[in-house]
Amino acid sequence: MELNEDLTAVTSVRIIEFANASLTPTTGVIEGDRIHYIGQGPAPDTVPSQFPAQLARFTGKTIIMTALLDE
Amino acid sequence: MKNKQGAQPAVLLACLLLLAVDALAEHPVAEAQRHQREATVAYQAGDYAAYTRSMERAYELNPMSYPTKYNLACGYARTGRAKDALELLEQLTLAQVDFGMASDPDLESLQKLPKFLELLEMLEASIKPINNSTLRMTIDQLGIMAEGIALDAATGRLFFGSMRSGDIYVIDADGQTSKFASVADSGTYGAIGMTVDTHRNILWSIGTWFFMAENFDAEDPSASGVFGFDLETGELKHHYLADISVDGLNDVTVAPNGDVYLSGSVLYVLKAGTDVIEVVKTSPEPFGSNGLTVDPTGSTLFVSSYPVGIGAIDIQSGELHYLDAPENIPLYGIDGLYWYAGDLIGIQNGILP
Repeated sequence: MELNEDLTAVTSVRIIEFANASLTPTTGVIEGDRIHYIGQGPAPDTVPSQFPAQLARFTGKTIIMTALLDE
Repeated sequence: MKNKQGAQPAVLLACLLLLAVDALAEHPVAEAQRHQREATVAYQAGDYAAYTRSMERAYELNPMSYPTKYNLACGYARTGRAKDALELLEQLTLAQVDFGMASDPDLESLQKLPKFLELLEMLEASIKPINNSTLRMTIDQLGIMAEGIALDAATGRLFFGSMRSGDIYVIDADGQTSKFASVADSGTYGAIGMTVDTHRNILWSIGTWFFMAENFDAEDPSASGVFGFDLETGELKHHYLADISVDGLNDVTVAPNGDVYLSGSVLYVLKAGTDVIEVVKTSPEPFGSNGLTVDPTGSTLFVSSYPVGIGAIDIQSGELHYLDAPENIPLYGIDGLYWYAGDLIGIQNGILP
């Protein structure tokens, strides 16, 4: 998100990743000119029994993605 | 019940934090959420007129909420106000936000209208996946429920935490993953936001008492906190707990001067050279905070207020204002938030797709 000079407004955006069904991202970390971000993949067809039913949808594998920020 | 947001982990976590704030005071966003709950009751009773009135009030109080905008459009469609519904749906379409309007029974009355069909076409054309990322790693284990990630730039190690177990893992330079530490050693906590503090040689991780954590007991609340682990050994070196009435902390960042900011239902700071966390006083108060970052001059703290947008806090004066943005740029539902070369980088998971 590009900001104006006095940091009061977003003036434009560039979308790095959009509508990627393979994960739900949560947070990331900047390293130089790239971002590593983490999220969860889709829930498995069979959820291990140790997880309560209400958490079944959150049991997908952890996925880490990397994207360059200047491209 | 109308829930167009989907059920993503971060969404639910944000909701948890916001409910905590809701209990504290009638902030306009809290009032909006109260009207949303009233709307839900009306919807379940089939009283769409009452539903729409409540959603209108919620929308007036928080026009930044895209789910509210969509739900109000549904109310308008249900009560014969097609023009008003289409106006809101057009705003959503221009912002590339889709809560499933193509097949929503609440919008059935619109489905043959030329304008609605035009919006569907616009939506289909605009919502194309954009992929500029590469897969770095998949952790071959189910149910970690990771949320936070941090980097030790000196060694290239990445850290991430489990909202379920509270464990914190490290990925070394060779790509090997192992357990590094755990916030759960200190209580029933899930590990959420984290960051490396090069000033102190510490990995900070939020430990939050919440429903995803193993052994969570809603009847036995614990104070959430931030835990500092020695970056080399993983030994717990510091921990600071929020007030027990603060239902959840969320994320953590370190300012250029070494001050550590903690987000959540209350904003805290651990000032450099001190050993106590203090509430950050702002005017107005943010309605909860999620991702947060400080600009390189150390003058502005940016916080994502999940249901509102991005707040910019003048650190010196405490004055908070929400960033303006063109109507087609939704700042709603941003989780991770970072400063990069004069820009803000946001990870948005509160709207679809």
